[in-house]
Amino acid sequence: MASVIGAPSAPGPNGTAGAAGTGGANGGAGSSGTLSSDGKTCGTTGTDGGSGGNGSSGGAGTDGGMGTPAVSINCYYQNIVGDLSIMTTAGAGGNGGAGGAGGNGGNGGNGAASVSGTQSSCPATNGGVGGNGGQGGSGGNGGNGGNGATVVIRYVNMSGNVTWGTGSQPTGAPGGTGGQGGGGGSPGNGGSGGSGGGSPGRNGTPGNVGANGTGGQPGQPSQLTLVQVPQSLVLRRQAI
Amino acid sequence: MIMDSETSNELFALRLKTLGLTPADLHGKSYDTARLGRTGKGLFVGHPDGGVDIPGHVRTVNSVAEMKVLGGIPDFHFTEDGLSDNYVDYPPPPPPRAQAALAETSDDICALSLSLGAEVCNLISKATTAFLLGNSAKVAEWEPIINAMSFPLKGTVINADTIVVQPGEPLVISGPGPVQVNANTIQVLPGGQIIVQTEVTFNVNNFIVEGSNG
Repeated sequence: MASVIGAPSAPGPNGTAGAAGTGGANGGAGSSGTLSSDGKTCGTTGTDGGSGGNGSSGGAGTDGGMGTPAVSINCYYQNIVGDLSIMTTAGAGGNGGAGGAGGNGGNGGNGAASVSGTQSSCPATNGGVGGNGGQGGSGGNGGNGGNGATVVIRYVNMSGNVTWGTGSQPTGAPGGTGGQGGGGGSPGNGGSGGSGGGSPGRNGTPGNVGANGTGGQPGQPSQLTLVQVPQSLVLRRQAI
Repeated sequence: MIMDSETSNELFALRLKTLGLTPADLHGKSYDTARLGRTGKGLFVGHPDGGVDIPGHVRTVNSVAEMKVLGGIPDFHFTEDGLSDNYVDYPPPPPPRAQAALAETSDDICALSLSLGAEVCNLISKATTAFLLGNSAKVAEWEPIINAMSFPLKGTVINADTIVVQPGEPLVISGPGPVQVNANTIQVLPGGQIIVQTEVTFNVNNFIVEGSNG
């Protein structure tokens, strides 16, 4: 049976997603060694490739908004004829925004090549370590559900029934779901070793996934109160 | 058992009297949702700023006590007639600092809101509902805070002799602000609906739902 009196309320707004983290800078290339002037020794050892920068963390998602509470209805009906059904619905809480993804790690710099002289050589240098991926942002929390309505009906005479639309007392609106945590950033790749024997750099580690937001709390339940006002009371008070 | 119409009219006149109205204020105003609705989505009544088909009379309500007279439950139901108020969620009294904040910032709602803090402000709505629908003496300490934060406000009054609600053409009551609907008869035809979009108080002599088992 469709409700005779309906009072719908809007859900809360959803949270917005967090911003993605920025990628780390790539490491600089390594430099080659230099031979001594007489070519008999390696005068200056080369440098390894630089480490890639770490990606920054993703931004946290914003929390969902609280659902709009159901509106209150206060009735004085002197005579109710027929079945009066009432449906009030509070708005559900908004969902939390997703966390932003972590930034990717920067790549490690490449190692430098070996340098060979007539009697000596400078070894190739190693590739730099890749940067770590940034941590994913936390998901926003779900908004709380809107509170249910307070409905009071005072009446003198009733020939029929007053019911909630569903025949049972509705509860407050459910809370929104928490936002999903952002994904961790990808690790940076290690730089390649310099030609002539340099070792490649190791890759960075991936970023951690951000924590999920928590769900919102349900709103307070609706209440329907029926008050039968005796006719004699109205007459005695001359007001109601 | 429905009382005879003469007695019913007499009693309803008493109700209207408490609202500052007489039966003459309702006479000659009959609304049929199918005939008067211009939007094709029903007949919208309420505040003139709400884009309604039938704008009501806007009046200023100066205090929560005045609002209780116009649209609340009289205290005597609880104090003298034995009505239980267990459906009312009474908040705890406001903290002592709230009274001091009120004295210092009573003319500045923003400053008062900041001074009261979010925890106290979140209870004002609950206190207002309790004041209007429950025993106001139990939240008397909230009264000056409610008045400072929420009043005066504009309410809308809709007076009608008869409102006929047709199926597929709902009666939609909208704000902004609270609306009071006073009618001698509201007749809801089978499948008809009343959609409430703001706080509403109905004062109706005969509320008739056609096509049901009553």
